[in-house]
Amino acid sequence: MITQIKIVGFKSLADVDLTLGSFNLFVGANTSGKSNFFDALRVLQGIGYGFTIDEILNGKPKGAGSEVWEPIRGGSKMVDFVNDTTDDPDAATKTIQFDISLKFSTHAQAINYLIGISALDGGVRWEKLSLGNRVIFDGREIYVRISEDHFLKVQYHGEGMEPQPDLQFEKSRPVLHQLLRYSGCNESDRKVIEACIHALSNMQRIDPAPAILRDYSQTHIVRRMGERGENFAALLKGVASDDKLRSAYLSWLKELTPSEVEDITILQGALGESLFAIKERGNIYPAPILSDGTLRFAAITAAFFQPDMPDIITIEEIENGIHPSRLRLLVELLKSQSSPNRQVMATTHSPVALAWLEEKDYATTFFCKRDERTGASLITPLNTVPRFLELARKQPIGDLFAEGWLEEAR
Amino acid sequence: MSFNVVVIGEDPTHNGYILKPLISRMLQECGKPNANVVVPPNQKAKGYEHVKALLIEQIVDRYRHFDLSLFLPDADGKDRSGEFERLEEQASEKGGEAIVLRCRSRS
Repeated sequence: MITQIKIVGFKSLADVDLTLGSFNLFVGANTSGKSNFFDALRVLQGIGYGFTIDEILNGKPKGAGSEVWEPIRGGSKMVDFVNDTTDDPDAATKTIQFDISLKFSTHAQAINYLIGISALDGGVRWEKLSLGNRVIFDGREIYVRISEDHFLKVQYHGEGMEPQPDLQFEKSRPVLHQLLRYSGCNESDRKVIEACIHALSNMQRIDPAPAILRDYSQTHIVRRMGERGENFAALLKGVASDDKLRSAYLSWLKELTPSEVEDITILQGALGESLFAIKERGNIYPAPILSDGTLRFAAITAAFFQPDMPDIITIEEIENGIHPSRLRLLVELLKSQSSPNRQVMATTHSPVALAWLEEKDYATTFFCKRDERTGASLITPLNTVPRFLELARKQPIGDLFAEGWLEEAR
Repeated sequence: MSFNVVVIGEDPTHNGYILKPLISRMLQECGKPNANVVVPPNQKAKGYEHVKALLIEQIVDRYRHFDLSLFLPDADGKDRSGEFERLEEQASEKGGEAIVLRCRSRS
């Protein structure tokens, strides 16, 4: 779980430092920086996958062993923070920095990972990994005159090992993966690096598209669905075959629909492909005739029933297609299913969703707005917004949000 | 630090678009060209009595950190000056600074 994240110089996130929990909700007007924060998480995921900086920012076509990686919105040209109050300085000096703390059940100490990247030349400027106070490696970009090229000079401090000579790695991709391939890297450090890589890469964006959910999935049961809901029915085929899971999944779905959902069922196509359907009053209703909202809720719920669960689930605009009276259910689902091993990051524009938060949730409910002068996103936990707690105890929080009071809080 | 003013009309949702530039211009004349004028939209607020109640129950409290709350009731041909004074006193008791603008109907 990411417990702390500091982002500097990325899009509108000039300098953001957040303490995260299991369930994190981001609220704020359009263009306040919520999606930029989610883009930053995608950059970290790309780092976890071991892609080059250029691939992470500008996209990567499907390879033999990897799926298509979509570019970060705007690509490398648009990821640097531009201060509205100053003339753009030399872009070559700009560095985007991510600094995160990861907590694991397997390691008593936090893993701290820092990386500075240049979007302009698609390279790593600096990178550092520590376990607690012990630095595992520390790298910086250097220029080698003989070859007229830039490299990363890395000092590897192996646990219980003599100081190593400086190692040279290519700067186009993070050191994390390169050090794993270095034969001198000892086993305990390797485990820490792998844990860091796993935490960063094992992130799943859930953005179910009703058109995909209405389609047939592959024949075989899958352990994880695609981010747009690909193989949704193939995932539920596995859920439906386990009585306990089926009953738990069904209980969420029953809460959503006013009519009595009796069961879920998976229909089969001519080649054994799977199609999701619900059973109501003895009738079978296949996915193509179900509403967008029902399918979206069914898919978001299904994301928490994946046998191969991601460490981090991100969902933008959770309220899409969901009736306001059922938003409580969705908020409860996300809160109850999130845990230190299953971190949830979500956004909402809905005042109704906010109404279902409890005071303890405010520390990880983040209000985003733009600084009028610099254009930088300011992201603040609700419990630190001046006078928010006092007012939220006596006035509906949804009203404060809808009225724009949070934008004016000082 | 800009001068923060919250403006409350009898129909904030529909009048907000008129009130905001109007009050900004008035404040410019008063030497506050960078004043931050906020007209909170409240779809439920309609009519003098309702907005008056909202002012005391919610708005003054919500915007207590603002420099000024301006209440702009319609004149309706009535003399409510006593009532306005009481409103200003109530706002003050709640820790806010409110001014009710007295308008006169043209006869």
